[in-house]
Amino acid sequence: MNHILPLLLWTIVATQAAPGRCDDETKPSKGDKLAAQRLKIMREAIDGFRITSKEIDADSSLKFSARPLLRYNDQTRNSGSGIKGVLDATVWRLGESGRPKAIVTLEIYLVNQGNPLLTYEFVSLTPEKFEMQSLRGVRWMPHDTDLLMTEFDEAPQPGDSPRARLVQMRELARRFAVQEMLGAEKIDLRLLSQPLDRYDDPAAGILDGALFVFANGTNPEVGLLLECSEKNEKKWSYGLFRLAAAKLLAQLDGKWILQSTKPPGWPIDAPYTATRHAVALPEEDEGE
Amino acid sequence: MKHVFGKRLAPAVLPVAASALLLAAAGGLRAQEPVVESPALAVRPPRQRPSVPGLPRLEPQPVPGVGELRRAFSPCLSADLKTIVFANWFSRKTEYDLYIATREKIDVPFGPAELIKGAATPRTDAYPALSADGLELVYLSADDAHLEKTPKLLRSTRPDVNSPFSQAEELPLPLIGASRWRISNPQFLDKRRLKFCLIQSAETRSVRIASRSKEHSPFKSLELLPLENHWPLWWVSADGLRAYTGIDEGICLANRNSTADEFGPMEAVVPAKVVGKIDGPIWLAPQEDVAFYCSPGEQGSPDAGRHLMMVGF
Repeated sequence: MNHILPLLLWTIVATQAAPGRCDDETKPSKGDKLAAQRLKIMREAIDGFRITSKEIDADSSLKFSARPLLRYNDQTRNSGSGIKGVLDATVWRLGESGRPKAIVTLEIYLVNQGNPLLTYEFVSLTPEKFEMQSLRGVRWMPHDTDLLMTEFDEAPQPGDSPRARLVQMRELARRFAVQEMLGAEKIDLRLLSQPLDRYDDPAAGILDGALFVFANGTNPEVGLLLECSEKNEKKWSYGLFRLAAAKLLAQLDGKWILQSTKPPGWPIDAPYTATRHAVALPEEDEGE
Repeated sequence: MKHVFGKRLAPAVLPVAASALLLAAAGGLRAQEPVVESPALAVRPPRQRPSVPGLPRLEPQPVPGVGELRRAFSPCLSADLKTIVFANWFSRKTEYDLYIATREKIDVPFGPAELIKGAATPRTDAYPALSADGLELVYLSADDAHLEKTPKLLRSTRPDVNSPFSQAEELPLPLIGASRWRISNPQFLDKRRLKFCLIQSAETRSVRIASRSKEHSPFKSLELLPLENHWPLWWVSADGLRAYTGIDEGICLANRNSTADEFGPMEAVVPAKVVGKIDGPIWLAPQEDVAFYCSPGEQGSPDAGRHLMMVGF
């Protein structure tokens, strides 16, 4: 697995997501400190999960990535029900190597009245059952995945080097057109050209894999796995998965491949679900 | 615009209906006469002539020659309506197997139904998809009567309509991990495209279309049919613009203006009070003016039998 790319990407995004750098670059600004404290809150939320499985043997498959794959904010999310927007958010992968077993997104929402909210968005990428539970009472026990990996109809012969395959994967990712429905509004999601993650899994026949996302601004709404398998011959395959509760639509080369309606509810055993609780954030002047 | 069955269709109906109104006015029809009698008339392709001459509209009838069978299910015909393949229960030992019946002309009953030996397995075999020329057969085979245990999509072919079907083989689809999922209700849209329902879990199912570059080559491409509701058993027109299904409300239609669009809501084209209960998938003549289906009878109980029926609309 290539660990350098996500680290570099995380560093860049985290730096951009931390507002208010002071003139003296050597001294952390108040905004930096608040951003670091918010990250600490989210990291503790992730680290607080106890994960078990009767179907997944490898311990490393039940551990979260050391760092978030992506950090972002989204001030546009004014839902009209007191939500003022996503102040800070992180995307984490479950499983230290290979295809992620799950993706967990944490978002800190500011609300008009009351405490900020920490939301958890879970999506399983494995048919194997596992269970995760935190001391905060957050629990998720997916029994399956909605991820559907499909061979590309037309795709180039996978390149021989990781660098060549990354170029190919970017080109493959650009062939997707993804939209989400927010109310009656249809929004074109943009591809973040850097993959959030890069992985391989020789035992599973995955020579190379990458996780791309399609985002509304910087807020990832749909994930795209691109994988090069090497079982009989090298082949490219893809799978889309939701990172948002909205209705999602996608086409590949103009052909429909995804039409995902809004989830009917938030059961704890669903492949995709979400929950939230109130969270105490550091005060603006606390960092002084 | 007045619809007999009263619901709103996708916008494609409107210009057609407007044209129909103008034509009606030009032809001197009485103003109170309904111009569009069925929503399907407004969106389906114009008929050259009735698919089944003499078949009255909205009057279900047993399929001649095979409608008397008491345990027949999931009918599928060749495009010329001279060959019918369906699942038929003969013995508990082999559960449902596929049977075939043919006729020389469209206006005569089908001859006696015969077991398709190449497709016969000890498992339950049903949901046949017959290619338009009647030479390729794809169907569902499973270990249990509900077609839920280790279901497989099998394929059998024959060189001409007078030859027997070959020994069936599993049909691979371009899905990775497909063995985990159930596949149901296949249907050939044309020689290159096969529609089927993919059931990923109790909550997740979708209607998909697999494509191949030429006849008999492996299916490589997989797309989604963007229906509002993926749960019914859909029959899809060759141009991909109309989808029909038999549900509690009768035979219903959903349509879209182009393949770039999503489908609109479904509405009845043959109401339940006309067609009664429908069991399993339906199959439509290419002109979309006759539907073939399995009727469980008034009581809807398996003991009442499963008869192959057809209705013009």
